Amino acid sequence: MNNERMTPQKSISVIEDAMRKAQNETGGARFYLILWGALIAAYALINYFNLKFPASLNMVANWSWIVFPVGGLFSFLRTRKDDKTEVSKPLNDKLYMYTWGGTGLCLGAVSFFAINYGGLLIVPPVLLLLFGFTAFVTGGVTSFVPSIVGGILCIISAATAFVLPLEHQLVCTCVGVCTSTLVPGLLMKKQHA
Amino acid sequence: MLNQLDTLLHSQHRLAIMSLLMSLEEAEFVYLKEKTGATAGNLSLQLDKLKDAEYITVKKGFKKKYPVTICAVTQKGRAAFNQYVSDIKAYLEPGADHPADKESIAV
Repeated sequence: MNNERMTPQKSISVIEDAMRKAQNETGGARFYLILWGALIAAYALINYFNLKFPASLNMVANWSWIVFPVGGLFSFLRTRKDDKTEVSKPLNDKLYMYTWGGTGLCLGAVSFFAINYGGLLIVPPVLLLLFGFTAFVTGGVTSFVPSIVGGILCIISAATAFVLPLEHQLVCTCVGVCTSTLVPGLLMKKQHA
Repeated sequence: MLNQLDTLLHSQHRLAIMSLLMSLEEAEFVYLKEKTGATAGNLSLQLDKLKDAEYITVKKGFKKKYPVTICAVTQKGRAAFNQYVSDIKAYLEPGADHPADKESIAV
């Protein structure tokens, strides 16, 4: 590219080309969506099978909570790596950070109060509602249709989970989390591979 | 009546720089150099001109003990870019009405 004077058509071409290059910088959102989608889906499935077959999976289920600190550690390490290596910051980074971060904080609060004051049955549907809402909003703002669709499916899973016993709520959790985070994350990764 | 194009933006490198920064929150010097294909000296010159016009901010810092230059577009730069795009469209379609439309530029 040289710095010559341009025709209007050339100007538009320069703008479009540059914006296309910049929009390919998607940031690390897909990593976190895949990581947390897989971990929470695995957590839900392990606990579902533990309720179904308590004798076989009791030990594994007792330790299943470890997925959360492990996920936190991987997230922290990835953030540090990105801070050191990334040379541009997409506009959507803050959107993902605050929406999903806020979702995590809300879930932490709901889980804390549910465990300490009773009401464990409320946790899976609330988790699904929060995930569905966040996926829907981020999908809409970034015009990423799989997140919009996944968000809606997750909200439907939440509505279903409200009227189900705990073990079936866990299945809904697995499905909802996969549609709202894991699948969109994998599609994002494929799109920008 | 067609507006006079912003001479600061009507330059291939500076327009490419502004277009990239409009789509990002911020970008480092090396990123802009890679995407625009400019030499380091030329890019520095163009960034200085944009900074003097207050279209972009340029911050210098350190990353892994190496100096790093980070650029971001300002509100004034966004407005100027949107106006430039509107004016360019008017040149391409002289009969149509093209008010400066921020939403058409938003990512």
